[in-house]
Amino acid sequence: MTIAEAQAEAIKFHALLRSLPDRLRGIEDFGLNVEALKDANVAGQAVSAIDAVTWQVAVP
Amino acid sequence: MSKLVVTSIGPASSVQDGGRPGSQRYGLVPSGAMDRLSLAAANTLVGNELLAAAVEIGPFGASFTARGGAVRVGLAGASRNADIGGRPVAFDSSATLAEGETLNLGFARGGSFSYLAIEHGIEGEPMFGSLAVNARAGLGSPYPRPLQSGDELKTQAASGIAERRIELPASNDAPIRIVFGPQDDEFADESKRLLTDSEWKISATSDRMGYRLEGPAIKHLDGHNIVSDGTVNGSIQVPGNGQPIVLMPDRGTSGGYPKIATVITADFGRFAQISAAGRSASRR
Repeated sequence: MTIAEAQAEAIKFHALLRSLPDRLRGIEDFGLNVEALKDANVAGQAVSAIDAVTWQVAVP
Repeated sequence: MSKLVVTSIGPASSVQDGGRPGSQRYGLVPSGAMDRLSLAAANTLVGNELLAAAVEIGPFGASFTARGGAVRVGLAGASRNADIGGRPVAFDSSATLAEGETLNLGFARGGSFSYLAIEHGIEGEPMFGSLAVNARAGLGSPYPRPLQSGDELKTQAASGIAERRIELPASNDAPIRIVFGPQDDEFADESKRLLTDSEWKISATSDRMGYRLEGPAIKHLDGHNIVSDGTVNGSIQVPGNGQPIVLMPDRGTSGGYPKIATVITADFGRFAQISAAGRSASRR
């Protein structure tokens, strides 16, 4: 990657750091993130086999 | 005064913060957290400054007990089994230990370093503006060395506010991105392709000073000694054996091996989290 591209990525990274306070949520306010579950391999194939739509939390 | 007492802890665990930026001009290694995003996330959970001092916990387990009052903590970085007195605690969230309660943390999963931030911060005497530990240089506070059982981290009583969790971007297994240079002219194009097109294993001898990469040997065009010059986090230097070393926060301030490339800032923490024997690929 070029230096200019690396600098652009660094700027995005620091923007992510500054955005962290906006990413706080209440501990009980928990929408299930199926992609993160897959990444963590918590339930392995069992999670992969389930239609992600059935896991979505209904938005009032 | 509340404090968190280290009841058990493995190697490679120490107090780290944003380090000592700008200190390299004095020959002082910057140190600081291996994974700044995780440090900042842990601190955010308990309302601290993003790069305030926290406990950087290496791959092995650890436990901490609250004494003198309740202590509120934020956990982020490599996830682990965690509980307070048998009560499960999630990573990327905050939790409060009542007086006498113990937080137990298991082995790191999916990374090497976890961060435990303490609400109101860790009390210590900044050395060159930072509490970050560099054991080789004898720098850091409250202990200028890795943490040991019995160490006490003093703080203020927990605020009692509601616990939080933090939503972080999904983990990313993409190749680690690099920029060639500053001495890539010491290598043939074939050697540079070897760096980007090979899969590399992190050696078990890696530490906070440098991660040794194991893979095909990278040949120099004209010897492996250069006039020493400055290093940065992520400098990839190639010594005589052709096995690259990626320089980490406790690196030397200058190096005399040619640096073929540099890990970009945005990917440095992700690279630092690759565990020993874990595999890494780079991308130009």
